[in-house]
Amino acid sequence: MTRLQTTNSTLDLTSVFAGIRAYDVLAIVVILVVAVIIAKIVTTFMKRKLSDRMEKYELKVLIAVVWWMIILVGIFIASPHFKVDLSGLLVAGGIIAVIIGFASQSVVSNLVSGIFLILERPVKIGDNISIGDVSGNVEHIQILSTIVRTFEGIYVRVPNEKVFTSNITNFVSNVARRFDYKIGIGYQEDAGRAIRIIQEVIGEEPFALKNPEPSVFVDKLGDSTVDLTVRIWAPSKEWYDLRTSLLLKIKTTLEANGIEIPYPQQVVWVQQAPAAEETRQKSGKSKDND
Amino acid sequence: MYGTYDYSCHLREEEISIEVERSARYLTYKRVCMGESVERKIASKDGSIIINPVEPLNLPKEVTRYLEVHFNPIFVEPETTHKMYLTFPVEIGVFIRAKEDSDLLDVFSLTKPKYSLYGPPDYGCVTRWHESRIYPDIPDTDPLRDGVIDLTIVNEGRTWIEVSRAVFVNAGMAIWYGNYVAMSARMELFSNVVAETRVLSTSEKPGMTRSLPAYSAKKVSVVEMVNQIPFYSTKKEFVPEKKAFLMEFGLGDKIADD
Repeated sequence: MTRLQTTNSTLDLTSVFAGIRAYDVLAIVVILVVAVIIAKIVTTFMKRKLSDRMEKYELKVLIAVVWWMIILVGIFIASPHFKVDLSGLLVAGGIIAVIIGFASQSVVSNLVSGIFLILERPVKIGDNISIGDVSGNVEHIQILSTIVRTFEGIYVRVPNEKVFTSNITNFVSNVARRFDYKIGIGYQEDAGRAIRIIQEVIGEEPFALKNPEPSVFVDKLGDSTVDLTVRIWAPSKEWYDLRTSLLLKIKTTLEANGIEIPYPQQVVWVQQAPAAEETRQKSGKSKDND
Repeated sequence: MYGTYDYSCHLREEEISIEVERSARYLTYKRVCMGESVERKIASKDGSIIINPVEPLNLPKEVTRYLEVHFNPIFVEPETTHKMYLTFPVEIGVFIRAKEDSDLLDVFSLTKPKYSLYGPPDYGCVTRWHESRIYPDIPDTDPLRDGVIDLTIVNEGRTWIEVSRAVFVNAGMAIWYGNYVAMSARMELFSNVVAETRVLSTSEKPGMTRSLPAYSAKKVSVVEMVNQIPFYSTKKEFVPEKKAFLMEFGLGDKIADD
C-alpha cells in the first residue's frame, strides 16, 4: 500500500516537471544566483549606511526582510521556467495582500516613515526637539516610533508617521544659536556707558561666542525706559545655561555701576492757570476778613 | 611646576597650589587655582602624579575639539613657505599614574577661556578662541599661561593669500614642555578661503618632554588615517580620526558662507 502511494506521488511530480528542459533549469539557476547577488549587494550597502543609525536588532530584522523580498522577487521572475501555473496562487495572494494591507496600514505607514526618518535624520538621539505638541530630548529612534523624554521627564512614544508628517523643530541641529534680551534703562542714564558695561559682561562669558560678534544697541525709546537689545550667539548645547545665568549678571553689574533699570513710570505735569490762582487767593482773603 | 611627582608633593606657584594628603585609607588631592578649589579622593598605594600642559579644550567644559588662533593679517607670497611663531592658551592637566596606566585627575587654567564659531551656524564648528601676535622668533611666555606654536605656512597657489586665523583639531595634538610649552603645526594654503592645518605629532623637540594629552586620557580611541584617505568599515571596531582640519570657511576675519 505504502509503495503504491510513493509511486503515485513520483508520477505526479514527474508530470508536473515534465515540461522543464535543461534551458529552464539553467535559467532558474541563473535568476536565483542573480537574485542572491543583488540581495547580498543591497544588504551590504544597508549595513554600511545604516549600522550607525539603527539599533543592531532592528537592522538585522530589516536586512532579513529586504533579503527575502529580493529572493521572492527572483523566484517570481523564475516561476515561468518551473512550468507551474501560478495564476490561482496569485489571485489568493492578492486577496490576502489586500486584507493584510488594510489591517496593517498604520504599521506599514509608521515603518516606511521610520525608514525615511533614519535615512533623512532630521533628529538624532539626544537632540532637543519639538514635534507638534511634544517637546523634549530624543531618547530612541525605533523603526515604528520615536521615544521622547519631555523636559518634565515624562516618556512619550510618538509614532514615526506623526514625526515624519509634523513640523520638527530641532533646537540643537545647528552648532550655534542666538538668543536675545531686552533691557530697559532710565532716560537719565548714559546709554553708551550701559552698552559698554553689558559688552564687558558678555566678553567675560566663555560661551558667549566671539564670532558671530554679540551686539548691544538702543532698539527703542520706550514709555518709561530706553530699551536696549542684546543679541548673543552661544553653542547650541550651552545656550540655555548661558541665557539663564547671564541676564542676572548683566542686571547686577548695571546696578553696581549705578545704572537704573526703572519700573514702568509716567511723569504727570500739573499746570495751574493764573486767573484761577488769583480767584482762589481772593476767596481766601474774604474768608479771613469774615 | 610641570613634571612627575610622588604622592607627597606640595606645589605652590603663582596662583596655583597643589598638594596630596595621605590618610590611613586613601589619598586626598587638593588644588586651588585663582580662588577655585578642587578636592579628589584617590585609592592608591604606589603611583605618581604627572602635571603637564594639555590641549586648551577642556574648560569650563568640553564643547569642542577645535582650537582657533587669531592673529594680525599676514600676506603670504605665492609658492613659498614661511615659518612664524604664535601663542596658544595652556590648560594644566593633572594625571594620576600607576601600573603603566594613567588617567586625568584634574584640569585647570590661569587663562580665561573664550569660544567662537568658525563657519556658518549650520555647518561650522565651535572653536576655542585665542588672540595672538605673530612672532619671528620664539617669544618669551609664561609656560603656565601660554604655549608657542611654530607654524609653517605653505602657499602652494599662484596668488598672494591673506591669512589671519588658523584652526587646529585636537586629534594628535602633541604638546611639549621644557623651558616653554611648544607645539608644531603646518598650514597649507590652497586658495583665499581654503587651507588645511595639521598639528605635527612626530616632530621631536630636543630637551623637551611630550605631554600626556587630556584627549586620549578620556579613553577616546584614535586611529590614524592611512595616506589621508578616510577608512570606512561596515564594522564598528575602528573610528577613524582626522588629524588634519580643512579650513573651508575662510582664512581671514570675513567668514565665507557656503
